[in-house]
Amino acid sequence: MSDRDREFSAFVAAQMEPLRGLAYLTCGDWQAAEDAVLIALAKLYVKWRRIDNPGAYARTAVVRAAIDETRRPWWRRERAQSNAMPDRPDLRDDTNAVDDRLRIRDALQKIPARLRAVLTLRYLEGLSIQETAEALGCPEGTVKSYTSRGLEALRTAMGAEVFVSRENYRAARAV
Amino acid sequence: MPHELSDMLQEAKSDAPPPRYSVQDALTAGRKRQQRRRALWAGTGSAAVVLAVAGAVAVPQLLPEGNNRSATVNAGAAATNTEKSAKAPFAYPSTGFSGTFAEYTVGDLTVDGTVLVTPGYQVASITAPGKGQAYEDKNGGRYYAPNVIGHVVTYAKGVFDPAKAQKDPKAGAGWFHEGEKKEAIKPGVPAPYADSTYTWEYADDAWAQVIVQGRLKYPATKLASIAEGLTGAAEKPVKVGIKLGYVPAGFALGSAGTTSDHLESTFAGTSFLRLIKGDFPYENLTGTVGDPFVVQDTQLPILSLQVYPAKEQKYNAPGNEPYCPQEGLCYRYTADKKFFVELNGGGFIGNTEMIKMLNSVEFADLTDESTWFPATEAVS
Repeated sequence: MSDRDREFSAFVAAQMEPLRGLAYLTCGDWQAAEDAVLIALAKLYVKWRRIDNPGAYARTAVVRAAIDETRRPWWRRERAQSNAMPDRPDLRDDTNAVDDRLRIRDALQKIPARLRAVLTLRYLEGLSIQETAEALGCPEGTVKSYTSRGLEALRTAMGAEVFVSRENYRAARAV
Repeated sequence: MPHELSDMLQEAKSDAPPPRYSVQDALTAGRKRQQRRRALWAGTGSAAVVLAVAGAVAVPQLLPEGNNRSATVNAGAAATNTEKSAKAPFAYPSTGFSGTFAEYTVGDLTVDGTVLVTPGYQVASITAPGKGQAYEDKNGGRYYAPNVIGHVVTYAKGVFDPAKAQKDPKAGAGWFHEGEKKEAIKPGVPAPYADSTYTWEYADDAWAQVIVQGRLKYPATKLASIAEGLTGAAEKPVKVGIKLGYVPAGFALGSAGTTSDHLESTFAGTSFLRLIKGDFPYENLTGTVGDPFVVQDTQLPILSLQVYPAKEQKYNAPGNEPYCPQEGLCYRYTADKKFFVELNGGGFIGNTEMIKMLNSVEFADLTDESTWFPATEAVS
């Protein structure tokens, strides 16, 4: 195995899971999310030696690929959806955790993919407005506008208050 | 029950099914992709041609006719400037959506002239030698933005509140704030800096700022030199490369120029128009206004249109008709596909209305600024 392959493999081993989560939150389908991650990582492999920040590149490629997944015509998405693995029931749960999770997922699905991507990058990945704009290839103003609209849409969909904790936001940025 | 957003996002992606792909799958996919690219390269003998286009935008000013915010240079404020005999005096525009910055140089820096105008201020960019932000097109080629290191902002009379700036140390005729180092975003990533600013009163109750990237560590004397060099030009309407035949009810021109309200570095051919529904009060400002436009805790509806050179072709389906890949974000390409205009509806109008707007867009020759439209005529 070459040095590049070793470095790349180490990167994938560490980042595959967070990238999968990022893609899932963006496109809302685990199978499509994994396809998006694989596409993004294949692109990253080709450019491995020319990229200074593989984490940022991978994040950008994954989000864009995941958004593209949501744009696919229905006849191309149908197979992926019909083959999508069902969400596993949490058998340990004897509280309302599963209901909450389903409600949250349902609410997220009600807002457009690009708004979901902005919220995920900013409040899960902890990116700044500038970094989010670079990741999505759009103006910073768009990111700000989408953040505002995304939060509003999420509040409406949840029928409950959604807030951003400064502590969590800082913690996310420090990861 | 209130929900914390990052907790919500963590919860939504918990309970994931087992992964279908392994590290080895990713490695194999990467190798296959590389082989395909090499085969393609060998087959064609050359790299694919990258679509590259340039565009440029002119900036208008939103001030109403006959506004009383015009301000001419205060001789007292410029008292430290001893070499201005050949320099045209600077005066704030007397009409809306016009610019009065002249291009001038200070050492190796160039103040490029007006790039954005709003009802409350006009902005000029400061460019240094060298390359700016690097970008990568879809074929892996690199291209660079102009090396814009900051901006000069002249505020209309009575718009700027100097109290905050005046807490900084006095430096010549103005006040200097050195951009401080901020907390690093992640370990191993260089920490960002706040902007460095130099604030001075260029005319009676009319203020201006030189704003540069703090990481560049320009001293107060350099910023003061840029301030002292402020040079006026004949007032002229700001122009943009598109004209709207249809504007949704209630929206009016809010800002215009070759860069957006967020003052990014832009490429030749770029234009920007901000439309606002409602009156945004330009008063008590301590800096430029990006977003949001909030009045009494309410976000005013805003729309933005920005023309980009299609260097990346990053948006799908550059056809002849406007299209909306997402709710609230629509595009239309020029006939030659070298530029596109992005309309961001921000959720304030629907895609049907946005398509109607884009169908009404008339493009100028984006490579020839003489064909562009005055901003006040572009939105009518």
